[in-house]
Amino acid sequence: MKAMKALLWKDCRVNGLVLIVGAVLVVGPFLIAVPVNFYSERVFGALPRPWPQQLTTIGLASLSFSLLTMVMLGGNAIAGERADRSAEFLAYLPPSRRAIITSKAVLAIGAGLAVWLVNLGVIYVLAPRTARIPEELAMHLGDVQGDTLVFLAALSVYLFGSAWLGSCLVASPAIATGLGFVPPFITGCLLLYFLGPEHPDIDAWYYTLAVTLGVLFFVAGVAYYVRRVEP
Amino acid sequence: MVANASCQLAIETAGLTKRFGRTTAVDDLTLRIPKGSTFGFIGPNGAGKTTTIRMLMRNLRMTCGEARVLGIDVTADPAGMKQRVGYVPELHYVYRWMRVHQVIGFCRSLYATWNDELCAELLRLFELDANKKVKHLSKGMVAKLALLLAVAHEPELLILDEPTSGLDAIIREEFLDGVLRTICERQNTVLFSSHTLSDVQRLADRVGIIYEGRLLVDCPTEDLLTGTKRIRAVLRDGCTPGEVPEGTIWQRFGHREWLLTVRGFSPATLEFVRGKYAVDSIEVIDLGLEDVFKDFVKGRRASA
Repeated sequence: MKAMKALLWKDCRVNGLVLIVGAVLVVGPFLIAVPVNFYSERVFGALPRPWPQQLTTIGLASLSFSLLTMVMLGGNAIAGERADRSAEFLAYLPPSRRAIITSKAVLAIGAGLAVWLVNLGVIYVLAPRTARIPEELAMHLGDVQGDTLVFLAALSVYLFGSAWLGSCLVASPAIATGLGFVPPFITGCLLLYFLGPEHPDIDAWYYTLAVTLGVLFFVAGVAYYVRRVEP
Repeated sequence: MVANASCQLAIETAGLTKRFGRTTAVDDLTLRIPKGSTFGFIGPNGAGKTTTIRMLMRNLRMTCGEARVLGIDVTADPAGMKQRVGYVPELHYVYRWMRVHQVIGFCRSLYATWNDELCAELLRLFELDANKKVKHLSKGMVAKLALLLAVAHEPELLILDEPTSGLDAIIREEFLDGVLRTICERQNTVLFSSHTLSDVQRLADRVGIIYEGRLLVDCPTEDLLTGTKRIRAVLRDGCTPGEVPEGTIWQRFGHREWLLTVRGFSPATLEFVRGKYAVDSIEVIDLGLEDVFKDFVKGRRASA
């Protein structure tokens, strides 16, 4: 337990920059859009949007930005330490490769879940409470589009899984992060080519493939890292 | 191979081989290092020392063969093995963003046998500033930190790969006479590779010479030095050497002077030379480890 805590602390520090960027991408949209809505009448001469609607839109925007956080977390997870060769130092120490990868996975998945929890909290808990009249609440519920959330969640899993596998394979976090974008893009292109944009189930196909492949890539990355001997 | 009963051995390998593509870096290496010994592992650059050490530390996959460290099969339980081994690599990649006390705290959490008193003592001895970031330490200071981290958990086996490379003469002396000697005196096993052969001769009670991935010698230092002599014979005009005494590892002939280095030297070696050739004069020269090493390597190169 002591060892796992130490590994987690180390991974938080190693991924410090990514976590800070991730936090900025979560909080940033709120810091910009909330004051804009608050002072919109005074500054822009326009009526402010109802708060339930405004918060829901910002929450969805924040979740969209978090896609970048997920791909960076995946890409930096293992390759980050390979790039500066500190992975070699870690390899001389007693923790097993299972413990090392568990710590990295807990941090990355934990950070991703935290981003989602914050935004889902804003969309489903905070936003309805800001409704002053029942019509605002009804508008809010109309704005929360389940499809968008499912799409963002599936894409998050896919981007993270792809970048994670890339991170297990290469020694550059930038390349690993770049690799994270490749499979989601190719999958999208293939579906458009084979099913066509008008196909009624194209979204469902994409979500299914994204989650399946994302999880598969993540598991493949873990298996590869655990079996590998070299740092 | 490597028998379980051989609990008196700190390191035991059998047929250890590492190939990188078509290049064989370590070739069928069989090594047996007894517990409590200080083993000097020497060889020219690219001989396979670091590759061997990395395989022993399970940081490099072996192509074939087996290795046991402190009785543990390194492929079966690398984490358990690393708990009992301290390792200082040639190049140090300690987390540069950490402060010295943070690196120490981090490693302390990972070892079950961490000794705080010893750590504090080494911190004082090495004059390491606990609040300094690793990236602000000099090369010598990072080497000292790496050594502290390898020693403070009181390992049963200490593996040092070129521990003094990059250290200035004063720090090197402090390291060898202060730290390494103390460790050697604690009856722990030490394996260290070095190009500074005077250090190896001074500290190692056992020595292994590796060349092109093959182990040429593995024996007590004393035996190697007492049993290996250079013979300088001046032959009469027209006489050229042909057959050499048994155990000859290197020879050179020119201007009637015949130099040959013989392992397993005995008076019979001299009798052989005198009996076979017309000799004007003959003398036996004692060799240091550096000369023995050079002659082994030159002899191998000549025969290749």
